[in-house]
Amino acid sequence: MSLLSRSHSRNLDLSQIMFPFLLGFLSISMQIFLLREFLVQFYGNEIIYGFVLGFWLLWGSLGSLLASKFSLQKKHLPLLFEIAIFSSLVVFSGLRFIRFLWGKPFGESLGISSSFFTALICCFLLSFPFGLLFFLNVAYLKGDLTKVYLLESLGACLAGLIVDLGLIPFFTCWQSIALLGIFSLLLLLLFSPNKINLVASALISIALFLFIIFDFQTQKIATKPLPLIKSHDSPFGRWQVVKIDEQITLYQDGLAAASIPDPAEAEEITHFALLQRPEAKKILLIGGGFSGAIEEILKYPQTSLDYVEIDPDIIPLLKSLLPSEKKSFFDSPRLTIHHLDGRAFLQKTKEIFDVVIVAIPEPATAQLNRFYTREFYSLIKDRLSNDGVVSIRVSSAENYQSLSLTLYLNNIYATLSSVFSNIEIIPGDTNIFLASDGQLSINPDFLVTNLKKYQIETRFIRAQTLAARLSPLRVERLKSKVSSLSSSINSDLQPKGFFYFLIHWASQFGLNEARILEFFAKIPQIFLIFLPLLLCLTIFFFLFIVRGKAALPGLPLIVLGFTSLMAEVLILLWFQIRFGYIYEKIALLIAFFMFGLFAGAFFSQKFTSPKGQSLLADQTLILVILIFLLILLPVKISSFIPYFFLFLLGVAGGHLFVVSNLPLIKGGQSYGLGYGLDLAGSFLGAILGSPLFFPILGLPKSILSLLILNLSCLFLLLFYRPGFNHK
Amino acid sequence: MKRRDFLKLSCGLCLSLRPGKLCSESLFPLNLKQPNLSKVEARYYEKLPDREIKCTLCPRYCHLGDKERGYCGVRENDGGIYYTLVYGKVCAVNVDPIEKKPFFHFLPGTLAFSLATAGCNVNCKFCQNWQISQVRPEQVEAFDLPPEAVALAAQRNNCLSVAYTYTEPVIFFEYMVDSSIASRKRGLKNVVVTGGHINPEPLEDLIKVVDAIKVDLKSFSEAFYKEYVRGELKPVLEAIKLIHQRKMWQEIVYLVIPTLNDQETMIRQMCRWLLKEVGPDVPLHFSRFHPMYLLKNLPPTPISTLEKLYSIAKQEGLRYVYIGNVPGHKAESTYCPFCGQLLIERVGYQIERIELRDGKCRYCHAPIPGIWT
Repeated sequence: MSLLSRSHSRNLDLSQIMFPFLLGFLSISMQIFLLREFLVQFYGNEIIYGFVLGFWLLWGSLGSLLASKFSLQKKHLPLLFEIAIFSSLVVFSGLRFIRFLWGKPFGESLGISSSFFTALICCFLLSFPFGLLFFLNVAYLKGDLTKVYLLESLGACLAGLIVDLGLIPFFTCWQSIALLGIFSLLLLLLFSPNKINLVASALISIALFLFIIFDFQTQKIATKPLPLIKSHDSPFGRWQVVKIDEQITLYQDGLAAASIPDPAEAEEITHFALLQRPEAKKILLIGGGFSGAIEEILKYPQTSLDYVEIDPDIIPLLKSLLPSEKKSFFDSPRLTIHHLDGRAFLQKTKEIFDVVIVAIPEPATAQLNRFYTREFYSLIKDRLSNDGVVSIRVSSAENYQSLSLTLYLNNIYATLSSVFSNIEIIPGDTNIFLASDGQLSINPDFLVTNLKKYQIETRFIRAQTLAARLSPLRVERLKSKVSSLSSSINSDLQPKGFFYFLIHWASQFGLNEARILEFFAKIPQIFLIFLPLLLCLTIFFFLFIVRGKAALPGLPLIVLGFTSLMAEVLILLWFQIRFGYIYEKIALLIAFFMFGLFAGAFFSQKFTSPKGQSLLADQTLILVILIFLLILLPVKISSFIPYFFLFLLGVAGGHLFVVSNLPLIKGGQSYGLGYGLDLAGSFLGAILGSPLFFPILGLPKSILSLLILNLSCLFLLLFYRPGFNHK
Repeated sequence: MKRRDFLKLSCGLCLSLRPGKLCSESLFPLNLKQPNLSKVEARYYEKLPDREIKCTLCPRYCHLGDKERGYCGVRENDGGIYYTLVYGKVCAVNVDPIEKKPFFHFLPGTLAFSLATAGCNVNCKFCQNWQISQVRPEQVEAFDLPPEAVALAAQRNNCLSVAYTYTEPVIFFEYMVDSSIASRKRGLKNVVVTGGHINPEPLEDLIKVVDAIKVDLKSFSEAFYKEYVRGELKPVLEAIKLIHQRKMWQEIVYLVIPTLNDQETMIRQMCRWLLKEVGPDVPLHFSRFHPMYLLKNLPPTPISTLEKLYSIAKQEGLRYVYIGNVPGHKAESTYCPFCGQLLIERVGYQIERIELRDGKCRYCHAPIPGIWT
């Protein structure tokens, strides 16, 4: 039986269900759209994700912790919801014009510090009201935190599914925000027992409608002076099209993806690899087909091309923009297009290819890093003919390779070398890595002979430019520099590659930014493994100073927040490594976790031991999950397993959240304290997890770190079961 | 999975963590070696009271206290004496075709021994070499290459000239001057690839020892210089004028960045200014921009934009206008401004044919300005 009063739950009216549900629904959907919009304005890498997610959780935590300091009353609930919806308008319009606020022209990269402060402010405006709302909801339900948490989790679970499957595929970001806002206002209007400020609601509704109407116009203003002619939000990101004279440029999530025509780019991606095997029959192109690469590959008369492109929206978009002679290539009988994740395709296909060209964006995230690992290259090798060639293209520097760039390039070289016996590197502002078990040659004479022999017409890859680019001095020096370091291999479970890329990326904004990352990379791993424990104990220590022994129930909540966030990301990554990035399935995975939280909170009403054994049981369950995760990481698994793990993790988390909160609420402490501590732990998980722990420690050691943290927490609970055995 | 397999796997995983290695393992195995810095007294500065100095090399006129460094990051005041820290400390060396600099009227089809040290006196947001130009000398790997060694290395690599390039060579002025003198003694020519941020007095001295200067004119607008270069246009224009007045061979490169410096009216003004101050014979190269450094998100320059600007320059009366970074474009080649015949056919960095005889058009015998032998 629940320790909380059941009298309130029996008298639930719709508003009591609606408020917490709406809170979970709105906060998760706003978070998803904030991340997407941030991606467009800044860079889609783990550091930026860390900032947004971290500040989101931090402000939510502070909102919940500080709520009791404000003289908030239950009647303020609808007003606070209105404020949250209004804040979303401010945040999303502000983000669209953010470059003006930072005084940067379109096309100039916004630095790390500007993304840091933007994330700080945006998350404050959005997440802080949600933190306050959690507190108010618990107060509204007279302390029935279980019910609030339960309904909030359910709202979040449904939001994940609706946003990913119902909004993103059909509406733009602004349209979705507007629809969410209007839906929320309607709910408030229909079910709120307190009076709603109708004037404010009407004004917000008008602003929301303007969001729908002026979405494209505002994008046009934001991209000025570049002339934006089209914008399309697909489930995989935002495509924007800029046209100057005859040239169109495609931007994916704010980053220039390709210009058409840009023969230099298209020729570079394809010919260095194809000239190695000009008689190749089967070619595989992973990504990058919109740059003109397809046209270049089809110049080789005997080839048939399989093009793997994850986003099904891009080809119709391109066809609507290109002149007829250019778009006819997409209808070539020699071309087969597969709308699939590159890794998923390689796992599925039984075909053998002579040349594989990987034109995937650089490893800025753990997700993209999957295309730069030993396992991925092994997968390619399995689908490659005996002397087949694989080509990878990354950014570089023509005249001098800095330390961070050398490490990044070395990582790619070493990883390729661990799978293929021959590697060649084309020097330049971009480097092309060619790898094969057969012979390779980047001698300009050899390449030019093949160009002539097979009558391949090119503009940039030709005798007159190759001699300078492939001068022996440049080729040898680059190769010796890149291969001279001790091998550092990028693997699925030890995804070092994206960390090296991040250091290199950060160095363009000033070496100090890069130095912070270098610092973490240099410290001994043993320290990092114990860092979560140290940090959680530090937070707990400060709490202990303020609240004394009453703070003890807070520790499992901090640990839970940290563990669940890290483990959730880890399992998602694990799923993607094993089965490829499959959009709908990722949404479903998150929904399973959220549903687990809901189920855990729901069960807590029925199965909660008054002696505190449930707390021990939850903590043990989390440990068991982590141990099994550690064991199963390198093993081939059924696709059902990650769902099951996420669900179980959710159940343990949801149950533990309620159980740990009971003593806090019983002790007459703030309703928001437990929620705040949980989010504070999650904040640490967000900023440390994927940007630092996964690349530096790798997945197994990250789990080990979580095991140490949770084991320590379990020992503490064994000695002292907070709030239960000391009455 | 059987129980035995499960146990094996568990033990294997624990051992794979290699606890002993954890204490020492690090993801960043590299450290820069000890900084390789020179301590050679600078040639352009004024001593001030209290061990302060004023650098007079470039228009920034850095006023520095003891132990302070100039804006370029490669010159330091130590006890009232101003030192260059990059004398003979080279971080990038290559053998490039002279067309890559680009010089189109200077020993076509030859190789240039190209070198640079760290540092720069401006901060272009589109810098191709930001990894060496936007850092301090301690932050790059440099090696020793004294002036005499520069000349020897150039000869060994069959280069007819030494090019001071990649970063802003003005910041390694002393090294550039001494290397030029050493190279000249061995019969080599010297070319400078500069942004033109240099004061008249050092420029006069430089002109005495080098054979050609290419100036990167980045825009014809002060606002652009302020925003994207962190420099000034006026001193660059003064430098261009002075180079011309001293009859030094000069070529101008204009990197066309879409929407930022491609306005037709501005280009027309610039061409008129060049015509008036430098004359119609100065080669003007409109180069295609490729997204770089902090401007990675701009599109590359459409070829039609370059062609429009090319036409404007021709209309305004400039005789030798080129389009760069578009291999195979007909505007890469040199045509006789009098009879219109193709004189030097270029594709990329390669010369396909030369129809000049003793610096004159083979067809109409009109002299073509430049350094041809």
